[in-house]
Amino acid sequence: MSEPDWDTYYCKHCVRLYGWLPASKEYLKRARKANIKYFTLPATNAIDIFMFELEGLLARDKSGKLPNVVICEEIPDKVPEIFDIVRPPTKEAIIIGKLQEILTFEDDAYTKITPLNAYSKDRKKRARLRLKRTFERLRLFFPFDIINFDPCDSLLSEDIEENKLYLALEKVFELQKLTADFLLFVTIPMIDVADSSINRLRSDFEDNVYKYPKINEALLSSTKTIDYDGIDENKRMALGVAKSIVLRAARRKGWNCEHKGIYVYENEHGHRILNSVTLCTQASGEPSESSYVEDLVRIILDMPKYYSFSESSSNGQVKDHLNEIVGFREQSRQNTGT
Amino acid sequence: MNTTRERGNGSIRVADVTIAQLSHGLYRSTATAFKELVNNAYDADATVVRIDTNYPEFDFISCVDNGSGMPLKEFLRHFRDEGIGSCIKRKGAKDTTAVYNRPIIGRLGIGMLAVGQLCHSFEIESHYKDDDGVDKAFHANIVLLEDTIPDIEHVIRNEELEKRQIDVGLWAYEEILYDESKKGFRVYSSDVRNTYLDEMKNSVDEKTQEMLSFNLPTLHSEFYDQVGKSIRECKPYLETIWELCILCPLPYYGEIHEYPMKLSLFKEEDITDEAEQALTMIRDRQSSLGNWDFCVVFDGIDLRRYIQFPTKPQANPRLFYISFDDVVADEPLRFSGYIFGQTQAVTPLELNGVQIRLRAVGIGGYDSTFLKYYRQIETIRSRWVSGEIFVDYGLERALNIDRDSFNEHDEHFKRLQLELHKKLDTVFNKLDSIARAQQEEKRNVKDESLKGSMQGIVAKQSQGKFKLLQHDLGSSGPVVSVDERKGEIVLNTASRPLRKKKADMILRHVILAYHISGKMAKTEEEQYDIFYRLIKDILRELA
Repeated sequence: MSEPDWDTYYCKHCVRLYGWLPASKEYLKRARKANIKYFTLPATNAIDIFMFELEGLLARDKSGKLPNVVICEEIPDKVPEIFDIVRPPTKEAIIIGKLQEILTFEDDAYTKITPLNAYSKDRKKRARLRLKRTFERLRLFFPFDIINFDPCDSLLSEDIEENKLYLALEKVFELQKLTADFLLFVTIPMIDVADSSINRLRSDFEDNVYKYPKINEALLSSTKTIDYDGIDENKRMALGVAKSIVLRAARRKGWNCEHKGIYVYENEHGHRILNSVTLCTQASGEPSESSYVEDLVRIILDMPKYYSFSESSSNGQVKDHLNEIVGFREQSRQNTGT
Repeated sequence: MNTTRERGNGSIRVADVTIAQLSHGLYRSTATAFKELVNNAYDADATVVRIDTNYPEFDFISCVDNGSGMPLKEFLRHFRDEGIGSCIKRKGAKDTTAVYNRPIIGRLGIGMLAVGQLCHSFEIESHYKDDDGVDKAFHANIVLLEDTIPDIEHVIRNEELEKRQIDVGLWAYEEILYDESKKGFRVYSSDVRNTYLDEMKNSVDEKTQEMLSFNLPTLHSEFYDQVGKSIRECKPYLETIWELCILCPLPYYGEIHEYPMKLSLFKEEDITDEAEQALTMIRDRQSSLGNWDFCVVFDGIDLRRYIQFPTKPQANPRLFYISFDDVVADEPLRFSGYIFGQTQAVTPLELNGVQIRLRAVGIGGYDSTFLKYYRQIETIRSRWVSGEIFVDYGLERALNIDRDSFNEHDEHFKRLQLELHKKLDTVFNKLDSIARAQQEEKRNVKDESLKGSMQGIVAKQSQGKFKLLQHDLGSSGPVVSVDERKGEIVLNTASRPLRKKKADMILRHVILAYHISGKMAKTEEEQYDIFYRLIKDILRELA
């Protein structure tokens, strides 16, 4: 499937403008920080990075470079395009590799005893060492203020117990332990969802409905039903992803979550994509049960927000904002000589 | 009658194992390896070639151009049918590129191997139009098999190996969908060699990272203003950028009246007819490069040949022109160039010497031996000169396979060397005379100033009784003559008993001090005091 034109993908920009940006500004204000430290897997046009710079959440240093931005790109072929758009001005090198492979790296017998700069004629061994080196490098960048977890693959394409991407998400929570809180954006395409994932979402939903009366009440009040299949698919998915993926990974690693928003938007082919914006706060002991229930109730009552492809394209505010970012990016590239 | 012994004849062949050694690494430096990729892009009529290193980690290399791409059949000729080096770029009468009419650089088709010097394996992708104008694309993986290439020492000692066919790598390709946004050719690799990675990474410490600007003028001012003498002080990463700037077929940076010659620093009378010829040649070449519409972007930096002479103001800049157009060894040889000279060392050191540019590409850096010009090579004046010679026709046979050096016994090379050396005779003679005149002028100024100082000293120590004069009293005349009546002490400038200018001058002044102290003192002790004070003052001036 060909990539969308990110510079005119207004539907996605609704999520940035109405979801990411206010949540990030609120986070920054609350944390009393001047700028954010940001991890992202941007598309080649890097709209998110330039949006944060334009909005003053990221700032360049004296030499014109943008510090505190760490980019990961898994497709080597796309790296030159990202260089073309982003490099400079980011200060750090791009982390090249599949995020889930990097984050779930575990030493084997060879990598455990071999220095990182050792040479092996064996390609596989070289690749393992390279992966370790990349993991070590990425690990040192943690913790971040904002993590934009938007990989090419889907957290729902196979059951989470076997899904490396899910394990990578858990690892993110583990590596973030050096900070008290952070903002997490998770993007999941709602196509090619594995049956096993649907079954898990359904069974987790049913568990919650029977276990927590507040969730049961909220569902009845909001959707008039507690039957999983009777609930609107977008809400069902929003609830499922929050409960079975984000909250599950967070709670396992000792974090409380507050969903600031969940958004469903369309691409030009009519496929839906879900994005959640979550404030994660490190629990002092076991993650709080009540905050967990409150979060799910909030999702049931208020989320998700839906942005259709055609409506977004006629939203003047969104178009103007995206155009402003694109213009700012091009100006920035000119200033840095690219 | 002689007895017939065994005879034979035949063609000379090169063993596969010898050729295979080339894939081990052919290029002198990182920049020369990158230069080969740039040359390929240039030959493919690309307007932009972007090289990225994933600075400051250097764990990824990519080279992307927007040229005509490599057709699959060309790839297969190289990798499946005929082998690396079976270039068709100049087959037939083709000598310039189809779109921009650029002189074609490549000859053998081994440039792609250059990337193998920096990484163990790499991927290529080509999006192009085939002969029928149909959009096509393919992607290929190439893995270099270093362990199958025998060590040359091993080959020498093992007869069997010489006959063996050598696989230098593995390749696989697949056709993919054409993508207009990717039109051209791209090479990329994450499997970079640790030697390259470590060298680059170690050369960019935190301080450099803070300072490094991805803006060419700022970056170059780092090279020229902050580097004491040599680009090497910048360490390998920046050195690579600098080297690429001077090797690639790129225009000079900036306005033509500022680069490469800053004309405002030349005196009007020094812009001779010859200098004008050189300037016209430079302008024409700059204009051709502009027409060829080509740029190289390295880690976001739009590279240019950032050369500016004179390197300092008041350096007595002079510009000379060299040209040649004749048949040598049955083949035409045509070149022109400029030689710049000043009376101070050229900085950075790497610009000192002469660079030969063949088909707009720098062959190696600046040769500070001036192609082995023995007359001046060890003198300080050889550091005052920099030049570029642009070869438009011929000399290619002399080019070694690395495209970075020449076979010095090639006829064309010898002729170029001869012409250059003849021109250098003129250049160095001129610089010599400028330097001598300058030295003479400096000396005169110094002598005048010294004369004034000595008069002051004599007046002071003799309490105005004597006036110091300097006259030629003949070589047999007294070193110092005293006329008490007139109150004059005359130093005989023709007196050279020691036959060494400085020593004779000191001797004259010692005798002067002796006479004054003798005339002024009443006691021996007083004479010593006056003598001592005089000598002290005199030597302070002379030192």
